[in-house]
Amino acid sequence: MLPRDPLGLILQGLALLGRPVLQSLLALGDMVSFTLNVLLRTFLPPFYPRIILQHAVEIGFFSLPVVGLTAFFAGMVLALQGHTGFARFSAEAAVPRIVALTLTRELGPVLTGLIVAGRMSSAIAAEIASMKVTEQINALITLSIKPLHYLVVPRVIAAVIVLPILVSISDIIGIMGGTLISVYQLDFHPDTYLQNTWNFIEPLDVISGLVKASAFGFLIAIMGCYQGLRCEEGAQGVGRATTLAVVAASVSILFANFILTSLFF
Amino acid sequence: MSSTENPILSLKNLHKSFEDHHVLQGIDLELFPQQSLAILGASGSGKSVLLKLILGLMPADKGSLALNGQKFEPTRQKDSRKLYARCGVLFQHSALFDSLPVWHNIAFSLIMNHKLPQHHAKQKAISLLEDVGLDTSCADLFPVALSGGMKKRVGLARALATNPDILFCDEPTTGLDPIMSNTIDHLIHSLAKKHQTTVLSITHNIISLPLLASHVAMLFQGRIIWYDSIDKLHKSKNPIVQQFIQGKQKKSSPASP
Ligand SMILES: Nc1ncnc2c1ncn2[C@@H]1O[C@H](COP(=O)(O)OP(=O)(O)OP(=O)(O)O)[C@@H](O)[C@H]1O
Ligand SMILES: [Mg+2]
Repeated sequence: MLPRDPLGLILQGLALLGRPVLQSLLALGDMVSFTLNVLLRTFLPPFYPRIILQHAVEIGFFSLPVVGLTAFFAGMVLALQGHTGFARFSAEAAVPRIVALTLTRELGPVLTGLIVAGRMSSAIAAEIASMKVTEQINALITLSIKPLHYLVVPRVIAAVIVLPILVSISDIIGIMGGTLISVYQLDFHPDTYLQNTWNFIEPLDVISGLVKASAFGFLIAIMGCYQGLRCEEGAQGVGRATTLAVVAASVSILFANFILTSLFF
Repeated sequence: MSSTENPILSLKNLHKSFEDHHVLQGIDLELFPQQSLAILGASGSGKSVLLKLILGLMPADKGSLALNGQKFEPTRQKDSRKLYARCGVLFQHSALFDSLPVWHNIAFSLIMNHKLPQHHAKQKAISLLEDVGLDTSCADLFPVALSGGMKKRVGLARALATNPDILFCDEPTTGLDPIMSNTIDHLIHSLAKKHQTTVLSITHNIISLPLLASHVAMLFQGRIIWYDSIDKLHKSKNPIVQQFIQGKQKKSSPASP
């Protein structure tokens, strides 16, 4: 049986598809305008250096153990897998290079970014969201303090500064992990291994990794703050905001990683 | 008091809806210097919403406000800044900053806006703590360690820290025991007297009224249905006011308003 009004039905179907697309576009637009707003305010007074420092310690220092551990294991795994692969065409000597290259360019920033995203963008979102539902943000406003300046900008600056530091540390620890496995299990000489690594790495490898790290830091803080501030009333809203923040930060990190990698090649 | 004076704050025909829920349906209200006005109304009648409209924390759908006779749009930063510079706000649930100790909460504006050095600010905070009748040992506690009544008093101290001309109190005594309520009412009353502060408070607590207010405005179904000085409240013939005072729900009382 033919529907009575096929055109109407098609339009209805389109509307059904269109609504979520439109809503996502609106949400994206809101996020972009929020980001631009934050960028603008970063360069406008008032500045809160002490608060930036507090957040830097919170984001960086307390992430160190888990970031270091991850990098260490990643380095060891890379050495093992690299060895397996290169042994097939007798190119075992390339192990230090592949470990160094992969760590500095990719795994260092991406793993660190994802771990800090899981830890910090959720923490930031939860903190700001609960400030919102308990009217602390309203209290800030009536005390003549702009939430964007006081809550968002310092976190963003702190994350942009701290992530590259974390990634540098994770690069070093990762290479140490690779060295350890190569020396004790794959019969490399430690001096040659490190010499090999050092000679092979180019500044651009490291720099591209650190630039990525800064970008990821920016995304982590922005997504956490955005979801926190846009949170709906109630405890449920806070929970949703934290989840959304982690998802948004992780996805945008992977996306930005692709874009930045294409740029650096 | 002195209705010949110009009002500090006047609201004209304020409307606010949430989707199809028309919460405020044309509020007209004036607040005069050194007056203490209480807005009385049932739970859910829109008292907090009204305060948020005045403070620019939510946009009004319709209507206008004036601050000292000048037109004023609280959602515009340029205008709201003027109000925030001279007002203190006690929020319904205190809204203390969880991440800061009590003294820093109280001295927040002094440190952030007035650039007072930390130790001066802390001294001032401690003297405010004494003013609101809290032990000075509370200064270094964090808000989680305080009871609801203590939070209210810290919130009051924070609202008073910059010696505001206007004090907004959203239910300063809800959820407190009668003795604590009375203490807080006395506090607001005496502090307002001492600093000649204009007070706009929101309450549904009849017992608080004599201390808290010289004038009362009754909010009902989105409108101010009764406004007069506090002495007239108990003599009012208005059935809704009567109901509210007696705390009774008159089912069939179509008496003339
Ligand atoms: N952000 C909001 N979104 C939707 N509805 C809201 C919002 N804020 C308030 N309302 C509605 O507006 C009405 C008035 O709320 P309001 O908080 O002003 O009540 P109140 O008079 O302060 O009550 P109480 O004495 O219990 O604090 C309520 O019905 C509430 O559901
Ligand atoms: Mg309320």
